Amino acid sequence: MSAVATQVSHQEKNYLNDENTIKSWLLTKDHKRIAVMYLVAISIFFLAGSIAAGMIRLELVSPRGAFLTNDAYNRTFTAHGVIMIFLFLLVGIPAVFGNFLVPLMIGAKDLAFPRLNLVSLYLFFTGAAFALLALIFGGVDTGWTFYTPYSSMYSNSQVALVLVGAFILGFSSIATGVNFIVTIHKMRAPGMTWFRLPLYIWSHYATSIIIILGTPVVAITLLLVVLERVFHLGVFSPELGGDPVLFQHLFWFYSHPAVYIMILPAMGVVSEVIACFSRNSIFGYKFVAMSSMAIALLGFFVWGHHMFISSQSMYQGLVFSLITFLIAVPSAVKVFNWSLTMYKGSVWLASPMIFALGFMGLFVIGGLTGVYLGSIGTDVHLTGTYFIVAHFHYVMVGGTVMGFLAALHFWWPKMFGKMYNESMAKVSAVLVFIGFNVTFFPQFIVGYLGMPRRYHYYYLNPDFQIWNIASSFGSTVLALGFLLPVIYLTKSLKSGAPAGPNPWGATGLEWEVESPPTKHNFHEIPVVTGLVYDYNSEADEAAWEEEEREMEHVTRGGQH
Amino acid sequence: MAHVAKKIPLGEPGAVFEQYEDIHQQNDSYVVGMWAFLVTEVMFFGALFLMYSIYRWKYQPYFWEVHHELDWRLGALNTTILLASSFSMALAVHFAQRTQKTKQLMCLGTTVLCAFGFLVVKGIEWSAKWEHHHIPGPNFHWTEATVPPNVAQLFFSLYFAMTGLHGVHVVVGIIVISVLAILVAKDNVMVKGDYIPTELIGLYWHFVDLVWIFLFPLFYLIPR
Amino acid sequence: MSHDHLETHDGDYSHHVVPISKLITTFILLIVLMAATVFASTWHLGDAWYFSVFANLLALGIAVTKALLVISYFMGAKWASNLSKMFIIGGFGWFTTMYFMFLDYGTRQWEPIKGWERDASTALPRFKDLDENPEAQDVGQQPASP
Repeated sequence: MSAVATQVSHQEKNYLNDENTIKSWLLTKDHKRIAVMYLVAISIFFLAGSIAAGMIRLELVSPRGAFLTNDAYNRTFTAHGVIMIFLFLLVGIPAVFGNFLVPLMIGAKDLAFPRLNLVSLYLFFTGAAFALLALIFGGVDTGWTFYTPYSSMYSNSQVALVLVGAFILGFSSIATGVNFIVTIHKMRAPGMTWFRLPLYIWSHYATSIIIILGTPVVAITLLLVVLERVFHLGVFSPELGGDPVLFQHLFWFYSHPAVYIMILPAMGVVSEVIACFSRNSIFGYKFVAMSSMAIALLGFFVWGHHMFISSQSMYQGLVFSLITFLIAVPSAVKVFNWSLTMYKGSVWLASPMIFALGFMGLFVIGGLTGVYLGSIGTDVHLTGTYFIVAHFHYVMVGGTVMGFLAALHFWWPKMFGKMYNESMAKVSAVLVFIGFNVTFFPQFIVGYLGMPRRYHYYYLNPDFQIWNIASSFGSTVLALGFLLPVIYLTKSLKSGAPAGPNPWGATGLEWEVESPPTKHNFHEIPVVTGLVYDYNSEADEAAWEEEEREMEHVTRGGQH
Repeated sequence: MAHVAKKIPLGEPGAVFEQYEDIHQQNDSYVVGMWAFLVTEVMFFGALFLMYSIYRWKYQPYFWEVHHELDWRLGALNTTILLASSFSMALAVHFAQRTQKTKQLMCLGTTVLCAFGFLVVKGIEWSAKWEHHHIPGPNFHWTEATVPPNVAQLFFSLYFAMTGLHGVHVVVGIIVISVLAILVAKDNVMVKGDYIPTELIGLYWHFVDLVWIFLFPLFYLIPR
Repeated sequence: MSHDHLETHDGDYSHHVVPISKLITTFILLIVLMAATVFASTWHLGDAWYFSVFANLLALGIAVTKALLVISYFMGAKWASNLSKMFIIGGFGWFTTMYFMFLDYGTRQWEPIKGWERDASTALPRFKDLDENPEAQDVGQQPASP
């Protein structure tokens, strides 16, 4: 890609130090500052969710659960689910890296609607405040799925409060989605045609489509549960002849595509990282781009596989099972294309690449176990056991969180202009990978043996204990792997070596501006003339070799 | 980039925010963004229409009996009022595009008046439901022997959920249009000489009308 | 779908003034159609199921026609950019995919009427009862931890 290079002195003000008042941060309309505020917020929520997870693992070490009461256990795993899904996974990559990178990658000065972006941030804070208030005022014991009629009729906990929070978070999500869609449609730099877009942008476009088509449905569904609790509007109430399973239908109509809201951006990250660190243009660009769209649209027709053991008709179960198998195809297209991108590329095992490879390994296990669960016959036996728990953690943590960490390590130099300690990062990547497998692989086994999820007593079957202890041990390793980046990334802000505009020798418009970028991203609007993943041209290779020498200096030096 | 935008200060016709290159890109973005938002609104109400369809399909004879409790004349009156308000909103957009401020203000005022009229009629209907104890909940009272009281309550649950949510949209519309009218009257820089705010709010208001176009036959005119 | 960005500077398609005559015609048509749907709802052709289906389709057809009129003329979709049209068609189209749910409701037994009346002696306590009668909580669950 040849774009107008922007050569500016490093003394120039960037988006971080442009203005330094608190007001200039809180009322900023700059997409990059909003991204940084999201990053801080969701890191705190991730910590909170992890503490809940730690409590769950601690409880499950002993077969009689010596740590929490029944009720407290219910509230703890609900808190874990609600915080992790609504406050971390759904917003993690889109709100932080999407906000930061979408305008940079397509050559725009900002998102189409900067004010709406700020509104979205504050809606997120409001929704999060409601959810956290619900947890403080006694918590919720329904699980993050809020199934009726338990949530609407029986649960004596703060269901209404947390649902209002989720409703508001939905609108935050919608605002971001609309913003991205319009930005990608309307704000691309001259020459940036659809098939020159980075794959990361494609995956965000697909994600935004899911957000605007799915989120309103769950918003109204959750609102109706609130209305049922508060005003007796019994739309799902079996007492009035309503159908509680209808809630599950509408909930999963959004919440299955929501899985793709979580995973598609991570897939976009992995596409970028693997192309960069293999020094190879992505294999089958159009297939990867279109597989994102296929996942987005096909993902709306598989929701019923969450409901095989509800009273859903078996006939529709069969149809859903069939479509569920179909959706494995575009996911597999991505994995094969990443593998072929690495084939004959010159792979450089830098920390973002290790995270991305970890993503691939874990996502494949998560995806393949998803095929077991998608087939009706096995699902009837495995659903509601720890097999399910292991499966979705492989996809959510192994997929999204690994993707998030890969993105964090890949674009950290761009966001803050500082290099982190690379060897520490590699240690963290390996720790997360190992810790994750030790935590969740035993759950496949214990789930297959029949341990039900959401139970904390298993003294009738003491064989489960060894697997649970293994899992709890792994979770401490995992926690260590998550804590390390907090330390060395924070340290890099203070004492990291300057990163320079393009520390990884990557292609893409975001690497052609300074790190950190200036307030308006580009000094001149770039003109794009070629494909994004142009890693094979000779000119680039020469430039890259030179940068590699510089990089060696930077990474060996580590920190000043 | 060859195309260098001519910077016009904000508040003048054709002013462009800094993230855009020119006025066309800006206007296009706003209109597309509004349509994208309306897509979310379609899905929002769509889920309710789906619930309605499922229960109506299940309980068609009962729903037919219960719908006589609603007065179709009031419904038709409200449809007319809302169609008229939509018409005057379309005229407001027309005059905004031609920068005829007085006419635009008159049309916006008519729209707000119609919206208030709609709410008044709605209030009359709802207070009748209150008096007959047709509000879902512990005090719900149903005497008609042909329909089980629980299904009647389900019908009214759907009725209040859908018309209530629509009513909330009407209230939001009143607020937004009133603010717009005040800004236009005061020649505020945000709207002066710019038809886009009127057009966007118009799109929203027509959507509110659209929802009612479907609610009216589904609740007031259930055929047998 | 692939608009080249360079081309978007040329057209002036977002600024089309809909003539007042067209708005008036649309409004009159809408009122006529509303009267028609009210009139049609008074017919009772017969008790057979297909008459009911026909009457419902007729009412829905009139509503869709009215909606198309509002979208095309009042909202100006007729003159909107292709991108806006894509969103209009996509949005209204996608909501109908939710009706895929009818595959479930059409193929399963659903007898929700039976047992709708609460039997106070056997039913689990509802959360609303707990406020009035805290002792009811003892059925099968522990009290909340402090």
